Amino acid sequence: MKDNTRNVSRNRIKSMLTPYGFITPACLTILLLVVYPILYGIYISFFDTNLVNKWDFVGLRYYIQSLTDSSFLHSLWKTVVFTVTVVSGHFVFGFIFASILNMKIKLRTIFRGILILPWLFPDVVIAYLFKWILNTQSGIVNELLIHFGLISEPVGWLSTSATAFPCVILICIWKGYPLVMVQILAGIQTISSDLYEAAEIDGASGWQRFVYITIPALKPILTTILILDTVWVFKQFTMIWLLTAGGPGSSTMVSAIEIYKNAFSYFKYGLASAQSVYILIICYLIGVVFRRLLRDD
Amino acid sequence: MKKRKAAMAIAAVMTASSALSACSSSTQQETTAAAVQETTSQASSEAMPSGEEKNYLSTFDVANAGEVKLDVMITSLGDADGGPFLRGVMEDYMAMYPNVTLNPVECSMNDLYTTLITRTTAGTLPDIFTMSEAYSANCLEMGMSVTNLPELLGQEYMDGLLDVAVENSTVDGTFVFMPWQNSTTAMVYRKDLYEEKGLSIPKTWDEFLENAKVLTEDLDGDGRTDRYGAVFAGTRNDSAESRFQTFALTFGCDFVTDNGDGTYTSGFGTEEFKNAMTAFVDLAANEGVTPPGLVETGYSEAYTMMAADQACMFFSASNVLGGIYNANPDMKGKMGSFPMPTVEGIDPVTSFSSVGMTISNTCKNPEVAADFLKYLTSVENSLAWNEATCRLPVVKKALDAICASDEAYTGFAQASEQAVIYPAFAGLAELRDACGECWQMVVSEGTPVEEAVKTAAAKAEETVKSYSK
Repeated sequence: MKDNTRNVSRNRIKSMLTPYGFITPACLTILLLVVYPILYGIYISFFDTNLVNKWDFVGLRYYIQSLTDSSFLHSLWKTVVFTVTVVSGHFVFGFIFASILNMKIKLRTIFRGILILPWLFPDVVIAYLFKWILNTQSGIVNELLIHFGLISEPVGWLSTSATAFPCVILICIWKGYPLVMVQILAGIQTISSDLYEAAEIDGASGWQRFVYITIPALKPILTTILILDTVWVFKQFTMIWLLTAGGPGSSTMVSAIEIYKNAFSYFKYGLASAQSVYILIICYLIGVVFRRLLRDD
Repeated sequence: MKKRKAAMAIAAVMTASSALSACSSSTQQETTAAAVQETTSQASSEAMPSGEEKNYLSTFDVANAGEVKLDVMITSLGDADGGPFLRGVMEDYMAMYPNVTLNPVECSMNDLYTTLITRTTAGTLPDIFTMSEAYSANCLEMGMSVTNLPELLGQEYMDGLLDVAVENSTVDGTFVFMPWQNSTTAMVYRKDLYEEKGLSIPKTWDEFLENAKVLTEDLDGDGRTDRYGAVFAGTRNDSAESRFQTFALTFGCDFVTDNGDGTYTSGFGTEEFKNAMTAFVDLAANEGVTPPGLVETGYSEAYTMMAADQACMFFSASNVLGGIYNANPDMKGKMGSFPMPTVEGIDPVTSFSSVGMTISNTCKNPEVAADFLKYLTSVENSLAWNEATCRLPVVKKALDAICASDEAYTGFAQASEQAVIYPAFAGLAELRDACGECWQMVVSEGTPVEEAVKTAAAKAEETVKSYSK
């Protein structure tokens, strides 16, 4: 009797512990690769440090300094403008191309392949490709425009403040829309055609079908993509760094580049960490706000 | 010992024959090779310590040091021209001392400081690593390197280095790194075109502009300029920004002055700085003597234009010649150099900077590491290094031999007599960046120079204040 009870309780403990055994490797990995670096980053933000032998505690000095630093505030504003326009672009083009690809058109598979190509190339390849396409002296854009008499002198697309930021935005839209397109296309294909037929019988226009059937049906997918895309674009570094490095002047200086420069060009690790904490908070808030706004009631 | 002697003899014969075969195309080159060869052997024999059969200043018994393994992180290891040379030197050293293993660790110059920080925090610094004056103050502060480098290298070796290079490597009385590459800035130009047009070497920027106008030409008559008189680097990075710092010197402007009491003064608020910025923007973007797209033109774009016969003058360190020759070997013999022009009333001046190597404070065999560094920078190896990369050394004997034998370096030799070094200021990168932002605002946003300079001066003021004790 006693043995049975002991076996039962042993089995109960075993079955209680088994799930923890399964999740322990994942938890440890997350703790080591995500939680520890974040906590260490926050810790650094309270110090004037060279990360080796200088650790002067400065409290909240860098947090206050960041809020009054015109360069950081300017970069934050640029980041917001960049994020809003790029994410909007991704969704507009993503929707348009997904809708086209959803139609029964000839060579649909080939078009799918072509339209997804920008997503397949690494950022570095795209950046250098466009850097040469838009090059002032020998870029093909200037060559064509001069050839057709549209301009008389070459334009510095990436070296003039008025054109650099729009160019960077367009390139980032071109690079990123395929992901949104694929997700939307997958979502559209799960919507039953019965719904569209019923709406058509009821006399709904194309726009009404889009607003009252397509959008609500895609809401869960759109919410996820919107949050992910916004956070990804908000943190964009590679493409802008390779295209303009934040210039000319500070016309494409987004916060990721500002922080990178503070950390790895000026060696101000504490200040850069404090600014990174602000970005972390902003990215977290973006997720919370979008989830609240797009909550499926 | 006999084997080593035989190996040395074979190596000497091979070096001599390769030097002669490389220079067999013209009489002038033959003379050059002979001069270099003579200087090398003379220098080698002078440098050889009594009783030692080595062609460098070895003062440590490496052969009896036991098994030694050294990680060597030199940024040039990844270069197309310098990399093979360095690996060859490392192999030669290992052949000379079979008890020593040298492990090459690649790292680009752009990633150097980030890598060093990461490795220092992880306690995995390589035994030998690249260092420059831009980071030497941080290196000293973080205690990355050994503090007895002069003793490890020996007085005789130290005496053979350029004084300005030793001064440049010293921070607060500590010799932080062993200088290696002599980055004196001078103007590289198309000697053949100067001769063709009958131009004389400009002493002032006004004369420079006049020459640049003459050299700017539409060669095929299609109404578009094919060859520009000059090219300037205008990207917002340290390469272009440090060039501007030298340019500002020629207008009598020091970026930063060490007041000697732990405080610094910025030169950005001075009239000289404003004049330098105005002249730079005019010369580099407004006078029509440079290719369009200043903001996109970096070091590599600039030397590519020189190599492609699209530009005729560019100020840089001597390694630009290597870039030009690699891109277009036909340019050999067409290039020359002259000291930086200055504005009227300012004496000739240029900047000296240097990239070198230091030994980690965690290195278990610093004596062997120092011995390898001395071998790497021996007169013979310095000449071969110059042959491979066009970089000038800081070893006096090697520098004299190179400048005497190749006319393309004459300007660098003259300029080095007027070269000054910048104070070891940890916020230099920030000051330089403020300059890059300044000219980019003027060129790409149309901001008036006065306004852009005012913004840069305010930033510089803030920077020097934050680094003053």
